[in-house]
Amino acid sequence: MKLQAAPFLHGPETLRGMMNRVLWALLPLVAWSFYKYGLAALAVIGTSAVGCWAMEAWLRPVGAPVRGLLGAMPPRAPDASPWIAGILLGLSLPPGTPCWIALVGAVVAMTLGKWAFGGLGHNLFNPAVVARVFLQAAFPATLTTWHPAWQPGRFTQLIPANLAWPMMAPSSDGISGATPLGLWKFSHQPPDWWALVSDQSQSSLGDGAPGLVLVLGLALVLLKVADWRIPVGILVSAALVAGLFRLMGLGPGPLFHLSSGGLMLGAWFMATDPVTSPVSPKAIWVYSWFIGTGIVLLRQWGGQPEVTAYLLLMGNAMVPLVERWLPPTPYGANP
Amino acid sequence: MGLRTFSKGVHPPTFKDLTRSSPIRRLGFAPLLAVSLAGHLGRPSRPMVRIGEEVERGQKIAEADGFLSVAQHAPASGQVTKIDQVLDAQGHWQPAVFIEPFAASQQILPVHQLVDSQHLDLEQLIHWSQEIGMVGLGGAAFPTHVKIASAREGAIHSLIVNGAECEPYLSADHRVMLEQSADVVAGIRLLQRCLGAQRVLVAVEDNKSDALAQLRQTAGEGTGWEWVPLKTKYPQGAEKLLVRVLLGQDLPSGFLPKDLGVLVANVTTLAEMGLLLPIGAGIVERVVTVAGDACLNPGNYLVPLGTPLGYILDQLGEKPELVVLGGPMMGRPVASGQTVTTKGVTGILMFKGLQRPTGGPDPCISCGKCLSACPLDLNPSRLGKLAQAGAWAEMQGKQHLFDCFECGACAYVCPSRIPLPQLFRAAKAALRKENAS
Repeated sequence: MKLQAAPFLHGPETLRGMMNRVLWALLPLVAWSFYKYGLAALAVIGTSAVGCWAMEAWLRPVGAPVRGLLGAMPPRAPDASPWIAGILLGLSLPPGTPCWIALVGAVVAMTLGKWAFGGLGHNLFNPAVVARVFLQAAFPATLTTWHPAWQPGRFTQLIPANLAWPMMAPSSDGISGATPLGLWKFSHQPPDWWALVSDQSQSSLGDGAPGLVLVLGLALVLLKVADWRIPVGILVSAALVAGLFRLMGLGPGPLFHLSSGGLMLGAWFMATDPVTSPVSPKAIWVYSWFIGTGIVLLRQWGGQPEVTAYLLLMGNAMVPLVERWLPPTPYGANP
Repeated sequence: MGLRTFSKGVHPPTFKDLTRSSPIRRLGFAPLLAVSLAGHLGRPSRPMVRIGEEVERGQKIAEADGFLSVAQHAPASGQVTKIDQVLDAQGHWQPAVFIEPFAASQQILPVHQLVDSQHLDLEQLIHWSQEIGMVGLGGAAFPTHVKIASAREGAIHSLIVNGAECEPYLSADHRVMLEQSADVVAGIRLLQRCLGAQRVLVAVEDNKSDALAQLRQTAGEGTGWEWVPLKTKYPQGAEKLLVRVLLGQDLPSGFLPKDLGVLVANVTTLAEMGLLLPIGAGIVERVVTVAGDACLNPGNYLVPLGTPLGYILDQLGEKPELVVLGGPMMGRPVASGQTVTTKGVTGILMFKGLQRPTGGPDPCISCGKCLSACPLDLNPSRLGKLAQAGAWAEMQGKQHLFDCFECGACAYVCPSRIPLPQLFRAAKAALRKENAS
């Protein structure tokens, strides 16, 4: 007879199943981005996603000894997590991003963002966000050049900048503009909320459709791969602070904040990354309120129009401490 | 009205339909029975028979060794062939009395000594519970008289009758409630009267509502007992959770129900009390659910104590590769057919192969599903990581490791298939060793 430790019954949930469901939930957004930006979207998102997958495939065997705590574990079968990180990174980039920059981002995401810590489950920061912030710092001009959507020839030709050679300044095609957040912040233009919601504004590949992201985010929650408390905490806290500013006559109001920039995508798809978000109920609320309020505060008073990625990283950084301070209250603690 | 239950927990498939509708059947005597003298929690019993001696079914063959111990009785009329060691479910060798049943040994219950159970006082109840070898038959095998004796220190105001039977596959308690409802009711009456408990709460999961109705009907009107259907959810039958659900109180770390004036007793224990105590007869057999995909004839069987598993597997099994004593969530795997049944064996599950989860083990991705499953609001994810890092002290201190009763709900939901209860058992063993030295 053979021996095995209890329990002998296991639920149907698997890590790979969860990852696949996140991937499925992302695909409609990729399709929308393609519809809006054409081949440029496929080029940028595809480069980043394939880059992440290739880096993961190379690093999985190499990175095994780094796994440290789980060093004795058998080699693991691949899962969809590098595809998710790659697609999220691609969606967070402007449509005119040169493909080589997207590739650099993918390399940074999988090395600095993931395998430097030991691979899946061990990273402190969301790999896609680490890469996004790295690219923002390394290529500030490129990453703030916004090409318009809905170009007539978008299904037959790329944006020329997509094919720029490494380290060469991408040729300017003279039709780039600014995001609504940039217009509000730097040109003091009145916020055009309708342009945001109707997807007429300039944005990153995945940022322009807050309504779609909201629906897909709800799907993530229903598919039991995202904790609803995180996006709800972020959106509610951001809306409250933005509403307060609006009442004080300082800012553009909650609807503008919630539907602009990467807030929606960040709240539903990035902040909910299980590995880098808290699990303790109280810590979840601290984490999500910190990110939500931080985004609006920094947009209002910081030097940059879009700050979601920074707040996500700061939120990730505080997770271990907050979880230590606010552990779950166990049974019997309050008799 | 919504059914009462605790928050969190899991809903595994119950697999009870295989066994719960068929009446309890008797299993014959194995050619050699080995009555373990350590089949209960506490000190092993002291044997009172000699090798070669002929014993009668129900005869006392071992006496309690001190207060935390109980008597043992011969499950069959036969001859004592040896007093030797036998494997228990944990894989330890334990002293046992081996009895070779006579071919003509009957399975009726002999009356040993009539006890006036209507007029017992607390001390007499304690004496007789120990004398008939009564232990918790829900699986813990904790001597019942020790629980009862806690009424000496402080009043027991509430008696919780545990008919939750939340482990999948198991339906032994269910059948006992249906077929021995009079015994259960007699047991409750006996205990309530001797303890002086004002409240009696009979708690049964709603997938056994027929059993609750049966008990209620048998008890009749005017008992004042509370009949509480509970939502079917695992681990509903855990003592800590029953106390929380039924009385709205939590047992702080290290507290027992008696510290709150509560006694929790399993329905099968009460049925055996009600059946055996009035005739002064010892426990010689118990109802066991036998099931699993390698079981040819699943059902509930009245199994003589000390029956070797090998005999049961021969009778009912089909070359099982994995045999589990107890339920699939908290049961113990057994290594050998020489292992014998004891008073704490509630189920025998036979499987054709290992019951491995699909996929894994993968690293913990902190998805938090275990926190949503843990009925005690612990942080299994953190505990698992600490266990893998060998951080025993933090597990015991800040993470309340010793509150965990290893129900397995965390491992049931874990998408990374991390064997969390196994890690916790290892950590507890390491800590016990450390604390002892």
